Amino acid sequence: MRDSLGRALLFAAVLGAICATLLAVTARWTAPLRERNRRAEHLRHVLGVLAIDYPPQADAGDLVAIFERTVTVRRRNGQVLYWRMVDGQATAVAGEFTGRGLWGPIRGLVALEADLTTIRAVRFYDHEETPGLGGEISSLHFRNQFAGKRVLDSTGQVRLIIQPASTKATGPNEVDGLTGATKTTRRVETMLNDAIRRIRREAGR
Amino acid sequence: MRPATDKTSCPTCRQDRSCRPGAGTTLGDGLWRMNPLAVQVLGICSALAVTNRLENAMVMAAALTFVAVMSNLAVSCLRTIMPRRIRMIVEVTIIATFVILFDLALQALYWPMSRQLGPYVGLIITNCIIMGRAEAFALHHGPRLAALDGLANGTGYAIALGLVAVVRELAGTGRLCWAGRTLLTLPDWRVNLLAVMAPGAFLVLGFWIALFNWLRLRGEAGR
Repeated sequence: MRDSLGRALLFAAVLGAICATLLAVTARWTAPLRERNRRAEHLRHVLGVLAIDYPPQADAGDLVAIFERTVTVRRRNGQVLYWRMVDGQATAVAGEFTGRGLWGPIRGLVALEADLTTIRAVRFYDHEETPGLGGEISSLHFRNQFAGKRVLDSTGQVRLIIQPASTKATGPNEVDGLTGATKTTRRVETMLNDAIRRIRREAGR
Repeated sequence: MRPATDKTSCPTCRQDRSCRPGAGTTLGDGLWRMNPLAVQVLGICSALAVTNRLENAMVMAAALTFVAVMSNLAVSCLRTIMPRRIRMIVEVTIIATFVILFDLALQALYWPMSRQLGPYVGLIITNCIIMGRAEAFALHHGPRLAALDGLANGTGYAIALGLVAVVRELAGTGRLCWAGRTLLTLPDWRVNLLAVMAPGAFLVLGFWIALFNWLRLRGEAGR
């Protein structure tokens, strides 16, 4: 009776058990590797935004060692701050931010110099923006503009400006926007300013 | 013995042949005569999504080939004991298992690529090529031929995907990269958004399909 119900149930049960076992074993077996990759990626972003050099072929273990030697993590009011320490002196501080992008959340890191008024670097490590348009926020030519920009306007308020594509950035607190990505850059501008305000508050100034 | 209806339900068979295509026919069908992308126009979703970089397209094609070979092999081995009424559920279970295996391996061994491809590896489960080959071929042929059919179709998909990706990456960014190295740079190129975005894939794929079929039909007419 090839098509009896009992036979179908038995076949499904056996096949299901085999497939489930195969997947469970593989998932368990790869779990440490996947977790390491995830952690290493995060450490790379923190080290990168704080401009701490690490060898490009550094594995997760090396990265943890470098991180623990050079970065101090402090948590204040829910905001995690990554301080770069050199000879006991703080030279920069970085914090994570999350905001709504055009298609999904944008997550990133922004690092300020110890004076808390100059940007050291910006990184966007997780976003679903349109490739080639808003997705260009993670490109070097966009990100590199932020280094050395002042976060305050002439009245002393936190106001970093991402200019629309039609306007050239001129001021010390301005960077150029991206063509065809007005909404993305608007939202990035808001989340960066919020993040910078939060970091300045929690970092003590 | 196979039921007689198999002869008509097997698209690989020509009218004048029994349902036993040779290895050469199977290979040629997947790569060229019945190329899944260019002739059958299957698996278009992924072809639009992952072809803006050649490297992404090739890893995606490797994933699809792996799944096609393994699922064809498994379905073919089980074809005589598989209860007919739950046939499709069985096929999807087998396909999903191999897709998740590949996804896990990618996350463990090639993390950056796993991040780039995002959900598209998982979406191979619903790729028409895989299910189509299981239904149309693996159910009616032996394991060795079924595995070869999976390989042929996966490779056919890889060729078509690679051709689209080369054009899109070059036209879109002006560069062609592979494993972190730039192979080719077009001088003075501005980012072409049409090529980068999905509509560009439609256009490029359309032109390749036209060229592919023109060559194919000309070849058949000449014979």
